This record gives sequence, structure tokens and C-alpha cells, in this order.
Amino acid sequence: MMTNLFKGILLVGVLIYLLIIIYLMKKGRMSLKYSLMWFFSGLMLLICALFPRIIGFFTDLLGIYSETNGIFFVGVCFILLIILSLTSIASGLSERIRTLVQTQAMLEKRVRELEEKLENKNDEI
Amino acid sequence: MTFICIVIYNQTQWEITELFFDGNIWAEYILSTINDAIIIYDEEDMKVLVIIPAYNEALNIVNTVNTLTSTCPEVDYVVVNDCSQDDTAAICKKNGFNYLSLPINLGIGGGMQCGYKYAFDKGYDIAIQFDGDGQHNADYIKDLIAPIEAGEAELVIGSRFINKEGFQTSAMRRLGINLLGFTLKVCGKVKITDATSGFRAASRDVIEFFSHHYAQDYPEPESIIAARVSGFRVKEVPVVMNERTAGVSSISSFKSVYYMIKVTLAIVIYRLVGKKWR
Ligand SMILES: Nc1nc2c(ncn2[C@@H]2O[C@H](COP(=O)(O)OP(=O)(O)OP(=O)(O)O)[C@@H](O)[C@H]2O)c(=O)[nH]1
Ligand SMILES: [Mg+2]
Repeated sequence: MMTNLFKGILLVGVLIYLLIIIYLMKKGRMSLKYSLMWFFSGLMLLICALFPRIIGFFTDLLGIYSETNGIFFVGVCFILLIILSLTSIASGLSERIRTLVQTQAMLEKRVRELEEKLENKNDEI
Repeated sequence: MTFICIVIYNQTQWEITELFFDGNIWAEYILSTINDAIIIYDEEDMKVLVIIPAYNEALNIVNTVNTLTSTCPEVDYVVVNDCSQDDTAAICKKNGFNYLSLPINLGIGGGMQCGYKYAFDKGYDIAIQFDGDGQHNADYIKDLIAPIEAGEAELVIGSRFINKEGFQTSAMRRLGINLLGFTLKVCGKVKITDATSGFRAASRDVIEFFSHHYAQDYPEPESIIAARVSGFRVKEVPVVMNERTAGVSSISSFKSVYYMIKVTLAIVIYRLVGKKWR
């Protein structure tokens, strides 16, 4: 069973959480692509808080003692998933940065050599 | 080396004769003695690029480059200055060296990969990794190239443990290198005595492969298994290495235990999930 107090805390917490996400998206500090998973997890928690029956059904099914534990379980699962996807995003980003740096270095070399050639030509004239 | 393949018509059939020459004079002499011969293949000398990774090598780089260019005047080189904290870049510029300068430090993996990309762009046939700290001996460059020119292997590693001459590194590190050799033998079916050796030569195909996929953290052993999984032949030749004369090594002794665990795992994982390239 979930106490009303906990239900209330959960509701308020989830609402604040969703508001922060919307705020960040509005400010352009979180791209839509990455915000979806956060949004989705927030929505799940909101549904759980509003309709504890649903979570009750699942906790019975999975053999979890209380609904509160069920909520924590869902939360932890989402956090793990999100962290995993963050690692994968970070790997992708570092790969891109590396390619960028390498290309930049080769371009820098070309520009440097072109400039030197130009200087030598100007000196001749 | 000039490679010539001559096809001769022998009354009933065409016969292919492969001949190797060091200079064109002999080739022309032999050709003038053969009638009805057709040259079907005459290749120019292989273009060789020596890639010199350098991170904080201000004390060594001039010496390294000068010894290299005087020992092997026929090869090109490029120094990859990996955002050094000291004045490696300024020294390269002042001395008129051919160099690439990375704006942020990518580590030895990203630095070497940049060198391989450069080699691929410029159309080199062979790329050689040659440490900027002067530990590698330019006299052995021709030994590294030979198996590639002869078509015996695509990746050639210079090993200091075949003839056991010169600087043999610490006992701790040798133990680790043996462990890596064992792992590579099991996973890559190849005998490697000096898996962490940075003195190596890569063929054109391997250059292309490395410019697309190159291990980042500790790339020397991992690139061997990557090449094996992709179906390249890897061979070792004996070399002599020197002790570092100045500057500091990037591998401390604490790190090397961690290094061994990580690289051994990386090799096994690559064997399990790595895919053949193309
Ligand atoms: N591009 C790049 N090169 C590096 C970096 N760290 C080291 N190097 C170069 O890699 C080469 C080998 O590094 P060392 O520190 O001598 O490592 P080692 O030869 O395996 O170890 P020692 O036997 O102790 O010298 C040298 O030419 C270094 O300049 C880096 O972060 N980026
Ligand atoms: Mg060294």
C-alpha cells in the first residue's frame, strides 16, 4: 500500500521534474532527441503516482512486496537505461570530436604550407 | 624496388615468369635478351611514410628526425605533435620539419590514426610508426618494409625479444608483454613476442583500415588483433631498441598493471565481437 503522503510527494516531485525538463527544452539547453527518454520516464512515474492500481497489478505479478518498492524498481530501471544511453552518446561524441580534430590538423598543415609558399613568392617579387 | 613480370610465349602456351630487380639496368638487359616478351606489370618504388608520434618530446624530436633523415633519406616522414605542453610544435616549425599539430590531445591512438589518415590521403604504400623519443633505430626500417614488399605480410612488428639485443625494458613489463603475446596467440592465431612495440610497418590496405578504425587507449596490442580479425597477415622481425635518452615515459609502473588487464580484456572482446572489415 502507498500512503497518501508518499503519493503526494511523488506527484509533486514528478511534476517539478517534468517542469524542469520542459524548461530546459524551451531554453534550448537539451535537444529533443535526448529529452525524450527523460520525459518518458517522468511520464511513467506520473502514471504510477496517479493510478497506484497499475503498479499494484505489476508488483503482484513480479512478486514484489509493496507498491512503493515497485516504484523504486521502475525508477532504478529507467536510471540504468538512461545512464547506458548517455555512455553510448558520449562515445559517439568523442568519436566525432576525434575525426574533427584530425581533419582540422590536416587542414591546418595545408594552410600553413600554403602561407609559407605565398610568403616565399612575395619575397621573390 | 622495381617489380617486373614477364610473359613469354613458349610455342604452345604463355608462360609467366616473375622477376625482381633492384635497378632498371638489369631489367633492361634481361629484356633485350628475350624475344617475344611482354611486360605486363612494372611498378614504381613503394612510397614510404614514417609517422612520428610526439607528445612532450622537445628534448628528443630534433635528434630523432635528424637521425632518421640521415639514415633513410629516401623515405618521407611526418611528426604528429599531439598538443604537447612543451615547445615541441615551435621546434618543429623552427627546424622546418614536416609536421601535423593536433589542437587537443587525442592520445597515442588518435595521434597515430591522424598519421595514417595523412598517409592514406597522400597515397603512401607503406606507413611506419617510429617513436619520437629516439628509442627506435632507423637502421631497421628496411627490415620492416621488406616483408610487405615481398608480399609476405600486411602488418610488420619490430620485436626486441627475438634476438634479445639492446634495451629489454623492465621485468614487470616483460611479464605483461608475455601475457599479451599469449592472449594474441589464442585469439589471433599469431606469434607475437613484443605486442606493445610501437615500431611497425603497415601496408596500403592496413593504412586504409587504420584510418577508419584504430584502437584508442592502448592501441599497439589491440591493433594487432584488429588486423588479424580483418584477415591481414601479421609478421614480426627482430629489431634493436634503445633506452629513452631524455624526457618522461607516458607509462608509469602503476598504470601498467591496469594497462595489462584492460588490454587483455580488449583483445578478448575484440575477438568475440569484432567484425571483419569489408
Ligand atoms: N600522439 C601522441 N603521442 C604520444 C602520446 N604520449 C606519448 N606519445 C608518443 O608515443 C611514443 C611512445 O611513448 P613512450 O612514453 O616512450 O612509451 P613507450 O616507448 O611505450 O615506453 P618506454 O619504454 O618507457 O619509453 C613517443 O614517441 C611519445 O612521444 C600522446 O598522448 N599522443
Ligand atoms: Mg618510448
